[in-house]
Amino acid sequence: MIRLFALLLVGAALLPVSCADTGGSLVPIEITTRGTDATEPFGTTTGWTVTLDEAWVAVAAFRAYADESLAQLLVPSRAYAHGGTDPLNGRRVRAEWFSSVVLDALDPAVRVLGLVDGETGAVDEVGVSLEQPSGGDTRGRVAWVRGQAERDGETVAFEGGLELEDEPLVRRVENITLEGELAANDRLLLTADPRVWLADAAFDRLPENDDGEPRTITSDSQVHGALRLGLRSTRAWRATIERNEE
Amino acid sequence: MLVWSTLALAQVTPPRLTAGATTRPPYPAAGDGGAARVVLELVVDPEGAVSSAELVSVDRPAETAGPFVDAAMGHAQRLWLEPATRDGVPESARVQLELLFVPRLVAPELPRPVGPEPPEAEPTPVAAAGEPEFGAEAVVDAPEVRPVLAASDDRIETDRFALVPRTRGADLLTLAPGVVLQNHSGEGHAPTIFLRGFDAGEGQDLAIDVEGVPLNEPSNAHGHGYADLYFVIPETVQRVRVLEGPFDPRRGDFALAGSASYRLGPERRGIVAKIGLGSFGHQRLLLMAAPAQVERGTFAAVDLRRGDGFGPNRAHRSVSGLSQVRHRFGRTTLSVLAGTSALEMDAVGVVREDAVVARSLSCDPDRHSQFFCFHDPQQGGSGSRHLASLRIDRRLNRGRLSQQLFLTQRKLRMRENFTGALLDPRGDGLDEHTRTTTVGGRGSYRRRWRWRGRTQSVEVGYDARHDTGRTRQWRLRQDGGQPYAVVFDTDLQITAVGAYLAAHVEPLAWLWLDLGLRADAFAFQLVDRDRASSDREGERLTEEAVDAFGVALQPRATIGARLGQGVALLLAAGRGVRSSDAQALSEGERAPFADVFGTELGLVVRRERGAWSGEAKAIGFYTYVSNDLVFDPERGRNAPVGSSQRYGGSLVGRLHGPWLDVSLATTVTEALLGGGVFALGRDERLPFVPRAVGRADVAAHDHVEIRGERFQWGLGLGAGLVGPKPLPLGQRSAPIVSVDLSARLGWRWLGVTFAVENVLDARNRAIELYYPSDFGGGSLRAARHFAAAAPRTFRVTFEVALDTAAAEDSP
Repeated sequence: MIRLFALLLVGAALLPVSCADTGGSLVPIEITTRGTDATEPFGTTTGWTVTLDEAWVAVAAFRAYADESLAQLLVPSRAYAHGGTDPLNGRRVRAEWFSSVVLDALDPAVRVLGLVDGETGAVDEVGVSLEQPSGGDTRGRVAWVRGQAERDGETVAFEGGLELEDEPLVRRVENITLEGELAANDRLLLTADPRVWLADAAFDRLPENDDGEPRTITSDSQVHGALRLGLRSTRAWRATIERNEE
Repeated sequence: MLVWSTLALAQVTPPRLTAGATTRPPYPAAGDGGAARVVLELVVDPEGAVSSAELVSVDRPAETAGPFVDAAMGHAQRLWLEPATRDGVPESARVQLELLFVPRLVAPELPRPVGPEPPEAEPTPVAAAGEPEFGAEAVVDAPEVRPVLAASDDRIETDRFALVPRTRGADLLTLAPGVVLQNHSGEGHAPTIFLRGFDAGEGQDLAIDVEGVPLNEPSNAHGHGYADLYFVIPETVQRVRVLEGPFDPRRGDFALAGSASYRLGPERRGIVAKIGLGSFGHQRLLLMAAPAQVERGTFAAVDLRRGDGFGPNRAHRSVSGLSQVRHRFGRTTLSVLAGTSALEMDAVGVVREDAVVARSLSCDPDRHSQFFCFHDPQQGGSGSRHLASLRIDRRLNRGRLSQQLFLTQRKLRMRENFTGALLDPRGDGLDEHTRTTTVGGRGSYRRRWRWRGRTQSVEVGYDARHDTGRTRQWRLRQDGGQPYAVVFDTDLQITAVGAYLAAHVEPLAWLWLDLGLRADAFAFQLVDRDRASSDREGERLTEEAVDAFGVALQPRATIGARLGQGVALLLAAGRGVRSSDAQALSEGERAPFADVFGTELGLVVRRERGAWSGEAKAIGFYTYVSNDLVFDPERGRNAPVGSSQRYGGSLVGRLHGPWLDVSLATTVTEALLGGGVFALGRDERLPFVPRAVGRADVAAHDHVEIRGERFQWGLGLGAGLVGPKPLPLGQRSAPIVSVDLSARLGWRWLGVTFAVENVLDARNRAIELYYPSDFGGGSLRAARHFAAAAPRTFRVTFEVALDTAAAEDSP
């Protein structure tokens, strides 16, 4: 009897040997950014050849969204278990960089922002939230550009920033394609391409400055409108996942 | 006249003959005409039946003793007695009974005791003795394992561990193995109950009653099955019975993980006044009267409490009054219970860990202040409960008849905010209101009979309740706390009726069976008061009636085998149900249930040596739930997640002695999502449920004499360990370690108790969750949230106890 009792004691203690875990798992993801080497002149749809000296953009956050198939969408999600949902688009957020950062869009070097806890699984899209800081490289704007544009012998020097209303939907760039699966120690790279920002700008419509200084991109100018569209274009951003082989 | 001696502990009462039972055996027809004296040794089972009788002596030569022995044995087998009790719990007992056979026309004698100095027998007619006693020497047969419904069927006398700090009535649940309580929302919010892999919420999976009055509140706005034990004054609790599984056919709705029954009856008799003071502005006044010369269940008590709480926004105030009169009229016991309570509290809810680490909360920037700080100061609650119960128990010669009626009026309001402003920029705060009136009753009839020399019984019973009221939930603005949206608003009319048949069969001396069948019916008549004012067809009323009905049959069975003296193996299995939350019903629906199938196998070993007794249990268990609920922070309440399974084991050890009581228990559980019955191998664990829990309670008490004065002393230790809980996305919570100590010194009618809770001053987290929220940060990713548990807390209680027994006995 004593033996049976001892056996049961040991058995009861060893019963739970499952290695199961709750759904999903968090892994470290390295968040990086870089700009585009746009020191060479590039053309616009309006016929201008542009050379940029400065291109800055202020980012509040960017997020990688889960690739959810139709079948997955039909399965009711467990609210307690999801790692985060964007209320503005209903998409599950697998990884998020949530800290203000001003990107030098002309610097092609990879800049490591830090590690975040990301959720493993397929992703298909990145969204960028822009912000308007009070000062700094963007001069209190969402983005700041400076450069020259040339067309048919006419050269226009310009500088100015983009101002956006303080509305979450307005300050967002969505549908930036990202293909892949997030796994431990992956590097999520967000690339800003300032060549797209001014793709539709008509620099000749910028008001001239009397003192010969670069023309200012005023908030009511066509260039400001073009910048507003260009910066928030999905073509102005690229997102990739790089597997860390180390 | 009964001479009683026992090896057992104090508060043991011997068996007594019931009033209607005769002690005069008929003179045997085969008798030789002379008188005869036969002494038998009887074993009286906890039901009061004589389970065995053995001949001790007969004052006749063997050739003429036969008819008297046969007649004595036959007479003894037909006897029914009031069972012996230990601390109020019926126990098996061994008694010696002397029977005297006298020829007709000779006045009979009352049976005489067999003892060292048996008194002279008086030729008094039995009928004149009222409720007769009988001469015998009796010994409580403690080591025997009583037929119980499962190895986990624990009936715990709370006074054994009264020295271990437990401040609220709900805390007594932790005397049962594997039960963990965690309160994430302040003093006044019912604690979340964890039991055998169940996150039983605030009662959704544990059927709780106090003296038969059910506490679980169906469709409570805060949580389906919410069971609030704050009105229970711990000093008034005599016993808590916890059955960890759906094995009792007497228990219906909410008994998925098990059931808990509180029996009231203060151990401390007399007039007791307690004044408590402690850390964080704790103040308590308890006044209790429990006369010694009435039934133990008779008492009246009032408990007033207030405190500032162990951090900002945690102030609380409460009052509770409980009174019960229990009186025996011959074979009939009448119990009248009345209670009223009210409370009000502030609460801090949960905070984001990253905000605490960044020290960005609105408290002082030091780590201590940030840990106990809050996001939303509008959280808190209030509640009241008023109840009355009338119960009549009638002991029959071969059975028992019970009937109880109860009435409860209940209000509860809770304000919580788990997600900040994630779901709506105006704020996600919840204001939950429930107002219900419950009327109900329960009754049973148990019939016992003898078969193969052992007691068998069958019981039929019912329980019924009707809840009427309103439950609603509003969203609150973050600024100002005004409600801006209705989440749900429902008028309730819920009728639940259950009936059961329970049979106890002992076909062999070493084998018993408990077989039960229970049927529950639930009828919902609801009015949803929050429908849209228009639909595709045009304008419509914002109210709509919803009716639903459902019936569930639940078989339950236990097989018990005595493997030796004090050793038993028990296998129990059963099906149980939980009714549907009204918010999940639609018109004309067959009211869906959450089904549970539970089974356990347990080995129980009991030993007794002198005044010491010990018990050890090893239990393995498995449970399947068809539609489980898990806490959803966005809804602020539990939400369906589909099926789930649990399996695990418990080890329990208890030691009781004249000056020491020890209880050790550990439970290890795996809780998994999905699958069917016994379809293990799923790879997703159920979140929030601790995998391993352990608890130790130690209470020691004795007395010393100094200069002729007698001083009572007592020491209590309570230690608990809750292992890491799985959180969503593979996260783990921090373990919880708690050590509580107390010391008591008593002199005459004065006493003082000094208690320290959380001696180690561990920064425990009462709850840890992992989900997205927006308390101003803006991140959309899930983050760790927690509610701080109490830091080290000191309490001192001064006690004045006037022993009315002594006072009433004095001239």
